[in-house]
Amino acid sequence: MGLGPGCPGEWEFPERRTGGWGAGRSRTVTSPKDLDTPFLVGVSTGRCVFNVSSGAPASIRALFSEVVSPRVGCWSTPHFSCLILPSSWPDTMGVTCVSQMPVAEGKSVQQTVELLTRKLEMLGAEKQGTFCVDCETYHTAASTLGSQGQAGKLMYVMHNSEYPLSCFALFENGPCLVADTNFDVLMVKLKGFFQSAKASKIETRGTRYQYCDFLVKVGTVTMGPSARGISVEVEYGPCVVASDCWSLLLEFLQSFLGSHTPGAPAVFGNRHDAVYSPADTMVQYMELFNKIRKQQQVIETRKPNQ
Amino acid sequence: MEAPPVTMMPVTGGTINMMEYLLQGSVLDHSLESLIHRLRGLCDNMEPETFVDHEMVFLLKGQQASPFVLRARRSLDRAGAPWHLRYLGQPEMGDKNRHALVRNCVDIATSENLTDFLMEMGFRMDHEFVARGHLFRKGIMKIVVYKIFRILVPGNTDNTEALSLSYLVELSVVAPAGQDMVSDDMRNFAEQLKPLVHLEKIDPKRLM
Repeated sequence: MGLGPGCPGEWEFPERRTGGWGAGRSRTVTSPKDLDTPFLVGVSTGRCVFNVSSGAPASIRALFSEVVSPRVGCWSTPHFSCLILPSSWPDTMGVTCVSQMPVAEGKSVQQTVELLTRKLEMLGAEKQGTFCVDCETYHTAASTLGSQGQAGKLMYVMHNSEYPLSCFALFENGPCLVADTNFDVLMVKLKGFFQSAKASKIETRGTRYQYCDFLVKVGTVTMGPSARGISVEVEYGPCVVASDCWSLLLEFLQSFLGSHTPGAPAVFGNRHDAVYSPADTMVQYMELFNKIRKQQQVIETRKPNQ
Repeated sequence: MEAPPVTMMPVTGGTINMMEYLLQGSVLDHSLESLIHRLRGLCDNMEPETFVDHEMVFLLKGQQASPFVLRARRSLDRAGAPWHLRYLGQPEMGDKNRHALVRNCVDIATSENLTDFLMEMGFRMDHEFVARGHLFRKGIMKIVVYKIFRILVPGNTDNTEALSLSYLVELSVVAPAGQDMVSDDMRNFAEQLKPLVHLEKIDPKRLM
């Protein structure tokens, strides 16, 4: 391509799927490693506008397929000029499956992570930086409960390094709000009504691997100083509809997870033709973190009986 | 319970406290054109920008005396624009010489399921209205001239009636805490709008 920073250019992308929200996406090169910040959408009537950040060379085509937002309604073949605006608006991402990898027999968490990453590297995946997903739990303060007359609910506030300017707030089996990072400031103001559950912060950190159209993130789940488990996230970039690509994702998962391959995530279940969004990924992480929290509690309650 | 006053503290817990400085006034409908004309001359050169917004005010009642207020605003004429959630603190009392009303503000852009989420958190809608008007900018100052419309049927933004025969004029700046020279600039700008409109510091408590 040989594009310099800020140099305008135009590409055509063929429609891949019409109907519904009408956006077409086609993926060509897949290495957005040149940009630190996630990119997205400056959109206006059928033309998506992206701004190339300085220093990003030819792997720009990779970004386009990430960025087309179905909401725009790009009915006809979209034309893109080369201006990518970094944005916090996580509007769309490829179908993603988040699962837990059990720790191998007789090995530590770190050793199992190394086994997995070595397998990925042998497959041909390229390391592309790190990632972090964290989650804090809040519960309705006792003082508010009396007037509401309902059981206290748990609210999870999560962050994903893939979208550094965003904050995700969700209730279990409830709506997931996508907001900007000022939401954290608001939670501080709401201290009297929502209290952070003690020692509840849980996070997963690890490396990102790119393998063709798949983005694999293997992370160590930690609560405080202790490692509690391993998370594996796999995203298939080109597709935004879960039912269209689950079998392909499953095959890929089997190739490196083997017998530990998970079943279809619950978020896929109800809405077969709905467009996948980052909020769905955060719901999967919340479920994973809750599962790991419960596992630890089980181990801890067993000990006195031994 | 409100957070402790964020008076002069620019930073609390790693985040910058933003304050909203506000001056308000109003003009009768028939004076609107001359005001718009003057503003177009004084303000930054830009395409005249109109807006139609639907604002809902939510309250969370706890055992504290005053409920927690959040304002959710969405655009009715710009499809795809994010929803805007705003928290406004109590007006800072104190310096009588300060020319503008100062209060802590937190602005958050959110996805469209904001109202469902707020209900899940325990907030209940107190009232809603539609605001329709013009927006001007001068540097960091924002001047908004708008009319408030009462919503007759809850949730139906097409069926509205004007609340009064006048337009509300607001001059506001959102800046980090501790920058009081901002209110001087605002007062100087407000002087230029006299006698078309008198913008002044109006304490909401005095009206209640």
